[in-house]
Amino acid sequence: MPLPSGIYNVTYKKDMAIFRTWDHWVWLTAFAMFLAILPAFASRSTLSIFTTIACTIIAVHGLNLLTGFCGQISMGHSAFVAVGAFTSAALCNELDFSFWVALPLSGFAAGLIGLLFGAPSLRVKGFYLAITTIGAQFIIIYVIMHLPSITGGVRSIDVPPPNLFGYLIETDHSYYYLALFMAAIITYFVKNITRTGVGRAFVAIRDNDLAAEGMGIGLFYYKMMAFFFGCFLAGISGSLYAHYLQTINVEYFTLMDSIWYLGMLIVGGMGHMLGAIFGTIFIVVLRELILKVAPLVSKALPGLGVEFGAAMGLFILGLVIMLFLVYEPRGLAHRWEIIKTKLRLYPFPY
Amino acid sequence: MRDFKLKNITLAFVFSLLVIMPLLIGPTVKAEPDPIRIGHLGEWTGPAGRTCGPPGDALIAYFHEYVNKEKGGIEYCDPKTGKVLGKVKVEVLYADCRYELPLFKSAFRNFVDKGVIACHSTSSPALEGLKKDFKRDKVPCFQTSSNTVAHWPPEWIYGHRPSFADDMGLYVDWILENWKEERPPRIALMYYDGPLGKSMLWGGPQYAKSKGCEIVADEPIPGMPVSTTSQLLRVKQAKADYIAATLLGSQMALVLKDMKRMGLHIPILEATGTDATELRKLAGEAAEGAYFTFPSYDLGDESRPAIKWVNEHYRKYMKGRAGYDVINEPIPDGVWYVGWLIANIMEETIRLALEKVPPEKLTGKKLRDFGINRMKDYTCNGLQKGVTYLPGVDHRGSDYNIIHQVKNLKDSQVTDWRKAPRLLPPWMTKK
Amino acid sequence: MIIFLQHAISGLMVGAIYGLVAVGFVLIVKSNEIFNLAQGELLIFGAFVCWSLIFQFNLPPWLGVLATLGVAALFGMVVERFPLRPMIGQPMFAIIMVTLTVGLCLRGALTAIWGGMSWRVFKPPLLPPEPVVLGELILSRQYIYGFIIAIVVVVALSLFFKLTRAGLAMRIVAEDQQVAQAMGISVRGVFRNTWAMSAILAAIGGILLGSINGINIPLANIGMKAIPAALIGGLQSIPGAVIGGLLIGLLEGLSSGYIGHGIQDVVAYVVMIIVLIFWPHGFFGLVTIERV
Repeated sequence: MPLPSGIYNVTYKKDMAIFRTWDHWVWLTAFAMFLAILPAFASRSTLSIFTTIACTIIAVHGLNLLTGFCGQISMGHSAFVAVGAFTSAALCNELDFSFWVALPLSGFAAGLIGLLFGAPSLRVKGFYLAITTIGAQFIIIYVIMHLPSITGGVRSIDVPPPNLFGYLIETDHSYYYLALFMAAIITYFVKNITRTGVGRAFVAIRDNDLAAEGMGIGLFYYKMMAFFFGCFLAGISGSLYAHYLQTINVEYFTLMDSIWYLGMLIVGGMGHMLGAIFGTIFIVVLRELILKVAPLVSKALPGLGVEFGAAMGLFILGLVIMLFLVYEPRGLAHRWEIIKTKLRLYPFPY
Repeated sequence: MRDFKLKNITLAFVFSLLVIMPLLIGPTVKAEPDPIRIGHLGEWTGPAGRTCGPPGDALIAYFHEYVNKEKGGIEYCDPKTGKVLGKVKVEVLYADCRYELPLFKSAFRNFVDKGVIACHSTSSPALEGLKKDFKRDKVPCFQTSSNTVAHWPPEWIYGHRPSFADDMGLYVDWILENWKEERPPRIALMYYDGPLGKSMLWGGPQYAKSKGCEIVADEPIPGMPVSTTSQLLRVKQAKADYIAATLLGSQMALVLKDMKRMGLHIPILEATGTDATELRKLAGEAAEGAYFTFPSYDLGDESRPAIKWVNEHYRKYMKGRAGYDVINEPIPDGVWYVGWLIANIMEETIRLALEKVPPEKLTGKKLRDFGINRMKDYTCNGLQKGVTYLPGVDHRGSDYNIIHQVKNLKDSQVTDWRKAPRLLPPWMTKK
Repeated sequence: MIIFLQHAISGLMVGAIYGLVAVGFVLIVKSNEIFNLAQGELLIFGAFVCWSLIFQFNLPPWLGVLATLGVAALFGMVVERFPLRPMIGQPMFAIIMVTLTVGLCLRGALTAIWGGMSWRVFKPPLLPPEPVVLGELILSRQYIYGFIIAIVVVVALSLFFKLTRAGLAMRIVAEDQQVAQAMGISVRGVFRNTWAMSAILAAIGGILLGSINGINIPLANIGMKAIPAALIGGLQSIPGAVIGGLLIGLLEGLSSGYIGHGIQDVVAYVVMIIVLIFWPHGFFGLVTIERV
């Protein structure tokens, strides 16, 4: 972390502190204030984008723990999101659980399923593991589709909105605050995991698992823990998202979504807390922009029809991300650090 | 050094794209408020682009070209005297949401912010996932996919034909009418293993059993099958007399080709709105003899003025568009046709509402109260029989459908308009 | 017994096509050590180009197919040159993501050019559709030809790797890029060649599938079916990919024949996970001994 001169890391505790200078506090407070007053002037479509981002960030944090910190690639993350969403829906619908109880339970359910699919990680590595998790994607979705008594099968099922002391959190405005609050708590939680011994063990496993084992880190224990935490967060995200949509269907959790979660992490920068956040914002906002650009392409070229504009939208989406990655393969978080350093040193080059 | 330059150029390109995009979006926000706005939650590049793209094209062509340019708009009246005051144009807002619910959701929010009075969609995520949003924002949504889940319970989603389950009921009635043997008919189910295909299961098989038919096989077909031999063998072993199918056109074509290859001659009854043109195009000679339901007369029969009206406009508006070849295929696809049909129904509901409400005051709720709820036995220029919406009871629109068959590789009507039974799905009957 | 044979053989025929597509994956993994997520899009690209050349530019079928292979090879080289060469030495994930964006761009471009709404059907078909009847067994001639083509291609590839200089260069690059560079082998040239070959394989798969079922954009998802095939065989083995493909086809045929309920969609993955637990590098994959 680039810091102004005059800050000395005398103890380990100081070195690992989240807030190192007063500036950090000021910036964070300003940012929190901005988010808090946003609903006053933002339109509902903007708020719905923010809520989507907040829900997605939680899942991407989970993937970041698993893939970015512990090095265990998961390409089936949206299936674990689905487990969370359907568990929450089933608990609330069938057993009349409150949302506040169902939320952590759905995280647990996803985490346990994650352990099941994480078990091969002890023997299987790299590409092989990545594809094993694609298997998780297909198998979990198949099971959800063919257990209609619990999950509704392929039919969309209703999910009740969260109830906070008699107040239903169902409008875009109120859900925005809930999602934001959860995203903030989870971010803090994940940041703390990465600062503790567990996080350091994860990084050691990522960098070289044999060396880590040689140093006395229990590979099985920590890999399983990474899978549990990663999928736990995916489940939380799924539950939160299900209650936001108030309806879920197995079709909302596709392999493409899983790949997009990984894409968000890669664009943001793996193994950085900020990477997960930046990447999610970048991709979600980009996709929303493309949604609005596509009809304009058709308007500009009316002879070619609507489909042409839509196709161009997809093309531009691919192209922008491609060019971005060619330019900055280490992700937005890396670029952010460079920009911060440059600003701090301005006008001197170093 | 060379790399550095390349990087800078690409960086400049990415940023200019990012800057230009919002600038492009800017002007649309300040468009004139005059026209009535409707939204199309569309999909062109997603996995269901084949099914959901053409209805959108038809809808946009109907309003932008036919209503606005050819007719000059929809007439509106003085609510008290009923005198025609002028014409109001309709603007269709649309978005390509690629079958992804978050995109549908934000597109719909955006439409509502811009004040749309009605929506249209063919995509299941939009219809099932936004059901509560339509209700909360009081925007009626018209659908062209006969999605059973969207229809029941009837809230703010409106259709134009019986659901797929009802179509199976229609077939069961028809099979029993023509059944000569002593034993009950054996029916095999083949359906697309997804929400669209399983739509049939919400009431269809139960109805068949209640009428004394046997369901002997239950074969889901994956979304992109390479071969359906194994499933067909199971159907053959079960000695089915009929196959009731809800498959996409492409899957249906593959099943037909495999059946022809295997020498399997079981009448196959399809209920997802494919049509003879598509089947013939995809399956060639194997399409011969397949049955399908389609809520219209033979689209190639231009001696009917209504069909001629549709086909002429199809050729006029779709000429030269990517993906359309009006010279070699002068007859619209079934999916394009239903887009035109629903656009016609939407225009009529808006016209009915404008009899009572001035255009600047028209909202989604008023459209429902004064337009949709007043619609009785509307025939869509003679295209369809009796579109009626019973508020809160039945929003499927028409109860009638026609059974067609591919004969000599041409569309031929097996029956005239037949009333399909109204089959309630399990979640409607349980409570 | 006849029914068992029918299920098994029709499954094997389909499996050969999976195997063919899987070989395309394996080639890229062998040389570049990345996973190409745009393989499905390359597949439909080849199919669309072939359709256009034969039915819009009225080339004779054999010439059309040959020209398609040329176009596909060229396209593979272009993809290698622009988004992928600047990525050499970058994190593996970023490169995989770039292949995904190549797929997105390609999907958009194909939709813009050929339209996503209509199916393109080879009419008359490239391969004769009449079935072969052996007693009670009814087999599709198209699939038999597909099977033969797949086997021929794989044998040819294996011979190419064994016998030619270019093949030897590819094998060395797959072993160690720096050593290859030191031996005077152009690693970039090898990358270009592998991408071209992979695109050609995808195009062959695309033409086969397209001529059987017609072409549409969602056909690209078939690419995902080939992934478990590549894994079961082992990511570095070309014959392994074909064996994996055949195995998966066989399992799909038998499971949909005897179990039903759409189980064939997941059986490949279940088997893949079980195989990987016992053989972590697939059946024929390169077993690396790791040292700290």
